[in-house]
Amino acid sequence: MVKRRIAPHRIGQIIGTVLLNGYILAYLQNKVLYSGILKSVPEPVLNCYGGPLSVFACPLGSFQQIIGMKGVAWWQNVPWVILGLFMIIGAFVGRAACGWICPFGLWQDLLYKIKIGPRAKLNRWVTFLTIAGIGILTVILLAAFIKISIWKGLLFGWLPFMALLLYGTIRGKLAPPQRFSVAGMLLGIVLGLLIIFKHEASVGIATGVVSMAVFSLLGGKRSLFIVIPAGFIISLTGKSATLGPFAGGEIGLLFILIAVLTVLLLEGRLKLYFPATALKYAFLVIVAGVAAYFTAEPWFCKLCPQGTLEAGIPLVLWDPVQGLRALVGWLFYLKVAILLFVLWASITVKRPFCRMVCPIGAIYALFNKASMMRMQLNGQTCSKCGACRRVCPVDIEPFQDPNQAECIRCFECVWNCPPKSLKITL
Amino acid sequence: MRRKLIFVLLAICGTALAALGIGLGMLSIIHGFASQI
Repeated sequence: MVKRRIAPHRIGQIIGTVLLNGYILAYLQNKVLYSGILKSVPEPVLNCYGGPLSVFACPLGSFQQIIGMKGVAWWQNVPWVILGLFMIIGAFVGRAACGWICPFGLWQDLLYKIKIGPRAKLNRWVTFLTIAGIGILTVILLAAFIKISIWKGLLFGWLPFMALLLYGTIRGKLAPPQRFSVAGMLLGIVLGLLIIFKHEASVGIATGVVSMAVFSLLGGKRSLFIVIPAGFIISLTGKSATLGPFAGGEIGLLFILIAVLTVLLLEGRLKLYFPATALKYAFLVIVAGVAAYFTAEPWFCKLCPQGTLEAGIPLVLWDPVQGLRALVGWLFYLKVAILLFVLWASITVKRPFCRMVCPIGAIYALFNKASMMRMQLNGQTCSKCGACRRVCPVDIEPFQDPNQAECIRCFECVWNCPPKSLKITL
Repeated sequence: MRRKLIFVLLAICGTALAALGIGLGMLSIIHGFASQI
């Protein structure tokens, strides 16, 4: 078998990334954003339209903005073009856009190539120290531009990231969580609602989204150790509000009671769990749907790590309109923290964002079973050797079901199957 | 056969939705959002 130097889908990813982010005139003309005719056209993948190099419109950002518009006719709140685009692409090629075009998929694939863990032997420490050095330089650079304290940057950004990386360097590549807990997800949402009620709406929504993700994967029972003290402290601070006959600490006690009952009922009695890959549907419905509709703000975009990487950080560093750096606040730091966590997760787990978070991937996944382009398995020649799983960027077993929802149609399994048991069909 | 029928239906519905959206002027709305930070 001839060993290829570069995978075909990788070439597609590189071309896709360059085409979707090819507005180099931004720097030559000192323009903030490209605003030509192509910005009317939604692209098929997650790619922030707020990035200075971005050429097309992000479908998820457009989706949230459209459904969140207020004071317009009902039909203007329906993202017709976006839904049509997803449906056409999904019908023809299923989730192939995730495997062949998406820039964030490319970043995750490349990050996973970083060698960590016991198998990498001495090289892992060279990698660790290299990343540590790059991290320190990044903090110094950011501190110089956005006037944050270097020590705060090192303490709250660099140090937690390096602690996570140290864990990965010692333990090696990790298996992602297999299931998510509905009770944990509800705890996160209720905690967010409590902060909205007692403090500030935007802080509550951001905290709710982050805690929804963390608690759902952590599980309800373990989350209670964080939720109970946090809920009680939140109820005692902030605005003096009443909830029916309850006030102050009583609201905290009520919150704790609801949290414990939720966990006992949903995890203890009903054992309500879903596969971790289904978590992206919660992001689609709750964050990109409900939160965007009621607040008229694109909450997924506000926290999206791809947006931070392509738009948030470059715009703050470049600051073409001389005022963006002054807007840097808690939300920016939260976005950077999320990005750092996703970067670390991508080094240790295969495409964690695509598998558990991305709402666009969630929509495309619905079409994989019915798409025109698909894969076929010859069960008689397949020896279930696992070669397909080893090369799969999303760590699935194509020999179990070659057209499962999580497949991103990169076809690495087809090209790397020793007995050629998998083939592409129409 | 059933799968091919679903594919054809999806492709037709998708095209119809996209065409309807373009006809309703949704592209200019998307342009408005996508051209600002």
